[in-house]
Amino acid sequence: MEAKDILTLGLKQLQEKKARTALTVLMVVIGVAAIVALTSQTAGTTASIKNSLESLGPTSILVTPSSGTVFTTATEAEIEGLPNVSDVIPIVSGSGTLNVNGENYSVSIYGVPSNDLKALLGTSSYLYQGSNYSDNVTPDALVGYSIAFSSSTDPTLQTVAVDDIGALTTSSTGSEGKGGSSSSSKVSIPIVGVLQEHSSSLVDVDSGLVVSQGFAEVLLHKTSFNELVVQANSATNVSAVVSMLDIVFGDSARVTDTQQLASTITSITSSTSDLYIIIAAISLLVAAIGIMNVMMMSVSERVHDIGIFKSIGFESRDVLLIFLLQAIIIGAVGGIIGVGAGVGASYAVSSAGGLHSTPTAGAPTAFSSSSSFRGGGGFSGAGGGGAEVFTGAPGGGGFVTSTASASASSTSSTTTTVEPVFTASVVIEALVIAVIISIIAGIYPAWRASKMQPVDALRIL
Amino acid sequence: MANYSVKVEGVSKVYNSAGLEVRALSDVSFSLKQGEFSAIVGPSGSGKSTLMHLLGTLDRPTSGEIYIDGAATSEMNDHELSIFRNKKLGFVFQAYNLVNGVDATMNVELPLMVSPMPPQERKRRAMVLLTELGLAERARLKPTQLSGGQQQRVAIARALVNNPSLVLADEPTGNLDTKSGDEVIKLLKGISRSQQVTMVIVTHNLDITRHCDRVIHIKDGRLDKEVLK
Repeated sequence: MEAKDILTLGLKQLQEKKARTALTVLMVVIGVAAIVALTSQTAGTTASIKNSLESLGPTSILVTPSSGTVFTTATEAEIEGLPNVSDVIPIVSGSGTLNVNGENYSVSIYGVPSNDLKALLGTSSYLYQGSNYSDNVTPDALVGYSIAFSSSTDPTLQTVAVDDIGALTTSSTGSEGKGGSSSSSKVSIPIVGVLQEHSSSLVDVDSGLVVSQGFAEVLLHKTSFNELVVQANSATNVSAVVSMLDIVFGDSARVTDTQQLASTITSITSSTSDLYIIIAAISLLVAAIGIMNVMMMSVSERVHDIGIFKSIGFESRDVLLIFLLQAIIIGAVGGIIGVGAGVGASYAVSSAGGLHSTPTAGAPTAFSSSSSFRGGGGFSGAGGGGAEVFTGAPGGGGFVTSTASASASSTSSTTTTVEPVFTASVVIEALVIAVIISIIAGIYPAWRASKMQPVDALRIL
Repeated sequence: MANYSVKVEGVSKVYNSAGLEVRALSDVSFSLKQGEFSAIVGPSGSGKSTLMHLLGTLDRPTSGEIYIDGAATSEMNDHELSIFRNKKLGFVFQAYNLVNGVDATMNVELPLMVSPMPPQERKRRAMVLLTELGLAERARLKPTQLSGGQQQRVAIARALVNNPSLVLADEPTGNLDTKSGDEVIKLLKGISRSQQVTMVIVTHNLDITRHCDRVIHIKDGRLDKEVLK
């Protein structure tokens, strides 16, 4: 028999039971769509994180003090004296509430030497408007893009501009956050510049306020740094610098280079991806059982036709192909629609804010396995149990969070929507898996049909 | 042997059902000439349907041999039997046994799908037969849209489309009213005469036998008598 005739007879049989065929196809669609959507989301998240890490530069190394360790200018100088170290960026961070033009903004406060902003943000053109602050202990500040353009209805409407004067309220809990009385202070702070949008940067300056290091120390009542960003003089020397820092600090600090971060995050997202694939595979398994069930029913119902086919000269192979082809058609159609549905679902999830695990106060997640980075998540460190890998100083703000401390993770946050990543291999694999599963599910019913003796099939009539 | 279209020699059929031996046919022998219009008759359970299945190579005899156009069918494997059925045999069933998912034309075309033939030629041959059987205007309809008599005529067209040498009709009038049944029998006899097709009607309706050249009576699995007209 010719393939075209086998296809025609297979299709005619499927058309006879349209609703049942459609429901079976739907089962495959759900399974394939789940695979495509979940893997693309995970791939998008991984790519976005890698971009963020790359923006920090392949030569950047984070050094965070362990509990009981204090980073000072002496520490900074000690590291600068190590071989292969080109620069050390000290960061003092905290959080507060900024009132400008009658609006309150929860902000992260970063104290960074002005000449280190280029290295920290990975670009020399980091200013959207205005000029840099001075490194004196003066209340000049750069405001993040998300605060300057915070209107939810009109993203082009600038709500905070250069020369605006803000009222910044900060609170502190004793010295270095180690207990003692709680106090708050309020200062008037002129806005001297607006930062470009840096959504891909690990330092979430978009919803932050960047000030001179000296002013941050006064404002936040700190005499030590929350983090040090160490720049190796070349990418090839990163591991040597990391080894040296490990020797110097031992257990008193945690040393993490961006490649290590990337590796750790890739590992985490890979595990998440595996979990998603298992979930999707279960959906496909259910679809396969559905196909087998439908095919078994079809064979039972078509004993009549099988008897006719065989009596007029169809061979067992022809009968097998007629039924197997039906399963393949279900798998292929379901696979194609499923890929489309998966792409659509993935973009819908992204536009709706993505899959994310919302961090909880006091226990921020090490890494949000999601398509958005939210304040309080990411690499935050906060008093009371921060992330295992990237914790910051106790009581201090984390290095790379939007709202630094856990207690400030509630109001103003920046969400960076992650574009799902679709690769040809994922799409092809999803289609192939759908077809293979359909063949596996259809082979037994088709084989049973083909082995039916014509006389037995005709007797059942 | 060459004088005969069908030669049945000492055919027996025994079924094993749940450990019990059931002898459906015992040592049946007869011959049919080319173009003969014959009937196999007998009461229900006499073994006539078993005999038809054996003649149609849908089943194999336990012993004995059936020759069709000189070919010993019991020596053929499944593949050879499929080809043999397709080239040499045509079937008409009581319940028409049409494929409901496809239209009348494609039902008639089905046997032609096995042998390589251009679709246009297949369709042409199917339409010629349907037209001869008065179904030209019903050619695009599905079996469920046709009356019983029309469905049986489609089944007859399907049985004839490959120009078989032997057509087996199992109770072809069983589901039809008397008028339609008579029309079908006259149609089959006319085709048998005009195309020299050997035709075997399996029936318990003795009234049909008046149209037949040869009547084979089966009783309790044995050849009871053979009547030539």
